[in-house]
Amino acid sequence: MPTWALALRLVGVGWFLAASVIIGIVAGLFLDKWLGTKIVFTLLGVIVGTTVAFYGLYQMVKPLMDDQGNGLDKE
Amino acid sequence: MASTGSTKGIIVFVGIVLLALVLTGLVTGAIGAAFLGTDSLLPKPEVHLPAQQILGDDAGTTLDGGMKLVLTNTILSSIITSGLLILLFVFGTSRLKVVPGRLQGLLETIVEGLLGFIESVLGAGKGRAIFPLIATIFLFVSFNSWISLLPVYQSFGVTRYETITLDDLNHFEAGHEVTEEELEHLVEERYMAAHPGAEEHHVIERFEIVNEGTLTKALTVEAHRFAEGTEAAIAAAGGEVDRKSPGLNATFVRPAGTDLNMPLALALVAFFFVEFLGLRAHGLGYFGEFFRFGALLKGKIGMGVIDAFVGALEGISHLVRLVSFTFRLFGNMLAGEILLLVVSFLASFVFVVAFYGLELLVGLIQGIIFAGLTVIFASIAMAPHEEDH
Repeated sequence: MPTWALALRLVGVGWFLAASVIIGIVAGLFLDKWLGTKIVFTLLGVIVGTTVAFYGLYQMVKPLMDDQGNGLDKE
Repeated sequence: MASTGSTKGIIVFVGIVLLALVLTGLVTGAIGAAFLGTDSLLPKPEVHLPAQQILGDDAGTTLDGGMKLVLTNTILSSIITSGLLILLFVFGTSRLKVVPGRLQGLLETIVEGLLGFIESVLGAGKGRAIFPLIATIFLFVSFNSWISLLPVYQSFGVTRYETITLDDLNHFEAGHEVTEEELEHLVEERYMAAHPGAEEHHVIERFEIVNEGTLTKALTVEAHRFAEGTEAAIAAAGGEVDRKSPGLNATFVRPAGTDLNMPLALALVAFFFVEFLGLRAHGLGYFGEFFRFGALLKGKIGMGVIDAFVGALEGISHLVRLVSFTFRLFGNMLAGEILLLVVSFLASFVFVVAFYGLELLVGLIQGIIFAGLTVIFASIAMAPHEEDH
């Protein structure tokens, strides 16, 4: 894949991070309301959402880092 | 000499016209109104989040539960966009020539550009195979955004009213000033009383007073339209009439991107397309990406738990893509629409042109992003799996 295509993925990074965290929180709130628990699932949602956000970010940046790393090794 | 003289004349003329437009825009807009301390001559911009219906009644179902046709302005707009695109391409490619004419040349440039873009990511064979869908996404998103920038596109529409009878007005106490909000509340209550157990009712925020029943109380009534005889009836009861400008509450067409359903539909298409490509390339093994229990079954507890967790994360991140696809397009289109509305309210004519230019660019960029990300996700889905180390 050309580098610009990898970089184009980063265009979506902001929306991806926001969506992950918000989905986590909303799903947590919904589960809490549904099951009548207090904030267990909301907290869990925050944690899972944030983890997904960072995992996705890592996945997006990894190929770019690999490219750069290989380039440096060859020098 | 004569030609330079006339050129200069034209430049001066254009300059004067532009300056006049700038000044008119400043004076008539909200900025001028604020400085001069007058009311703005332009109506306040109205932002509608849900699409408005131009055909059919409020709900998509009739009272006895049957379906009926409802046409919203965003659906009409997307139909027009698709129709124009199809016409353009059918007409432009109906009689292909070896030496292309202008239209054929333009279409060839577009198609070749897109094909090059896709093939540079996926390679020639795969790229050509998924080209139709990606090109459609790009053309639809961009064209749909550009077409709404035509100045006449959103100029025509309908105004719909909620009707309120004189009898209904007797609900209020004598001497009361009846505002739009109170009328809205009244309509809602009336609907709830007529349909017990109904969900909340969407009230059209335009009110017409119709001549039914008799008014017995002195009221100041704020409404958008007064049927014949009602003004006299209100005055006769000792009240006053406050006529509000109705404006349009539903234009016939509105860019489809400003309706959450269109981006969502496109995102669903892209999502299922990508997953389908992944399934076709890897078979059922594609799901191994999300359910990584291999290490756990082999008895490596520590690595196994982490691996299973990563698989779940991968699955969730695919779903998050769907949401971020949807809201990126929706957010950008809606923001552009509101930006144009507000800027033309603040200072019309010349200043707005810059923002129209910006929106042209935004339309192109959103098309590229939507199509480009779909290509990239497709290439990731089709790429050989990383084997366990």
